[in-house]
Amino acid sequence: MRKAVSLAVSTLLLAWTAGASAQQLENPRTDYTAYTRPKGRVSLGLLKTDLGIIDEVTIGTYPLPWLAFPLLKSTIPNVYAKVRSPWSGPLTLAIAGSFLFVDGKAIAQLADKSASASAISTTAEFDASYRFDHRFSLSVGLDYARLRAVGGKDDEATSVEGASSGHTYSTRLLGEWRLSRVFALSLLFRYLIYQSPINVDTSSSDSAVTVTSNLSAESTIQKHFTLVPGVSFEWERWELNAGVGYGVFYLPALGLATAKSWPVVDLGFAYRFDIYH
Amino acid sequence: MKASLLICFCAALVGCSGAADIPDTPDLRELLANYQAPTASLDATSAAQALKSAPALEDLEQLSAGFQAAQSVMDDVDQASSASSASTGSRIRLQGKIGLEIRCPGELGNPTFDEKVNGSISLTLAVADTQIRRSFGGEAKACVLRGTLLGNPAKIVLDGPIAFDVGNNIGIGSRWSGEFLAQLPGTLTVLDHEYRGISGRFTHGRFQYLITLDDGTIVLELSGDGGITILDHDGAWLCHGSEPCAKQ
Repeated sequence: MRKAVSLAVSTLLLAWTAGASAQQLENPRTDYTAYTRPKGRVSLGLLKTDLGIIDEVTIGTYPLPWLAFPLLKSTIPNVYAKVRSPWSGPLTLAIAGSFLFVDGKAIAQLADKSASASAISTTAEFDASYRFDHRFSLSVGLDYARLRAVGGKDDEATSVEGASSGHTYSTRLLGEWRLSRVFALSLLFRYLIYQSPINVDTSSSDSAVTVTSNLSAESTIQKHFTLVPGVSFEWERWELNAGVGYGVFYLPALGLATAKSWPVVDLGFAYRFDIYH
Repeated sequence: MKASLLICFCAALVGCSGAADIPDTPDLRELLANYQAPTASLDATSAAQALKSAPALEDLEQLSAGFQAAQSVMDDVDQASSASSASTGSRIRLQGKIGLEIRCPGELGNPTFDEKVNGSISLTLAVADTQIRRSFGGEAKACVLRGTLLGNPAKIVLDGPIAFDVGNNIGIGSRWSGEFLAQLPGTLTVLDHEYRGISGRFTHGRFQYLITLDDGTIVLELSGDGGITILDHDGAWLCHGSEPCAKQ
């Protein structure tokens, strides 16, 4: 009986792994890796939506901030793009960047009703992915994120209420072990290299005194590590990546890292279809 | 080569730190040391002579009223400390500077915060390790304040550079402890009496005034009972009116 079960499990695993290679080539995971969407393919998800312009270039956006209008009285436009190396082979390199704009109205809703500044978030990343075989791939990446405030007019704001800026540098390692055409295990490790103090200028005034400050704030307990084991499913049209781990949490789209360690959920769910070939 | 590249890369990262600059603060340590430990040694004769050459009791009371009025800026420093604490917690380190532009209230019972009428005081506070540094300075521009002299309202005018030491760093969100040393290289006018280039200190609620003699420094202290206490290197002398000063 035990042999029969063992044989059945082995057969099942073999059947799964037989289809792994094709799926990894056709629909590779695009987050935390150097891979891009194939030409003309759309991945439509609430958390992330992207399109392969050509095989080497993917553009996308995070839909949720666009839909924040009821909450923030303003939408938050954002876009990202990734360009990968054109050659074929086990090694793929890519660079990517994103841009996100938070209007002053949204900041006023979130932080301070009198705030007049807007915020711009930009991120950049470098990725390298290496496919050891049809089942296992390893990706390393270096991420940079910058958040800064800008004034309502042409000049940079002097007050986030007023103005702020912060830089975050981190690196990561993602291993993916594809067990079948549909199913893969993953392990994401992230290390926060450095997060700058957040520099904030403020100004307040009453009849007797005007107080202006230029202060920078940084955490005295900054944590650095994040480990997220996860699974991914790649069906014919649907894809799901889910991981639960612990460590520093990076704010989606903004790239800013929390000071403390938290339980971390990494989730992606989307529907794929082709609009051209 | 690889190691040096790595070091350069790390240096570049740190260079983008964005940490706010901490401004320089006035150095009042020597002045404070003179107040805390006068250097002259007096005897009964020299104590009497020192008292003759010192400001009269009335002048000391005026100076006390003037410095008491100047001390009112600490209300605004407390306000700045409180305002800056809004977004901090015990796990946040703040540094940088806080600027105060204080519109002086004038001498009347009903304050008029108009700097064109009653002048102003600008102060720059240095913040390091989430504390306002104990010494700070700035400038008074014909700042008119309402003081109290012998129970009566008195017009106080501050003008020129000012520097303060408040005894301890003030934690962001905390209040000033009550110690107050002021150095006024400019002028302090109490009623119609103008004093130039003076200093004064409040400690434990008592006003102190530093005098430099030929052989060192002494501190005069209003004793609260109409007398003057002279603090020298060796102790204190209590002086009342025309009576000889008595060693304490």
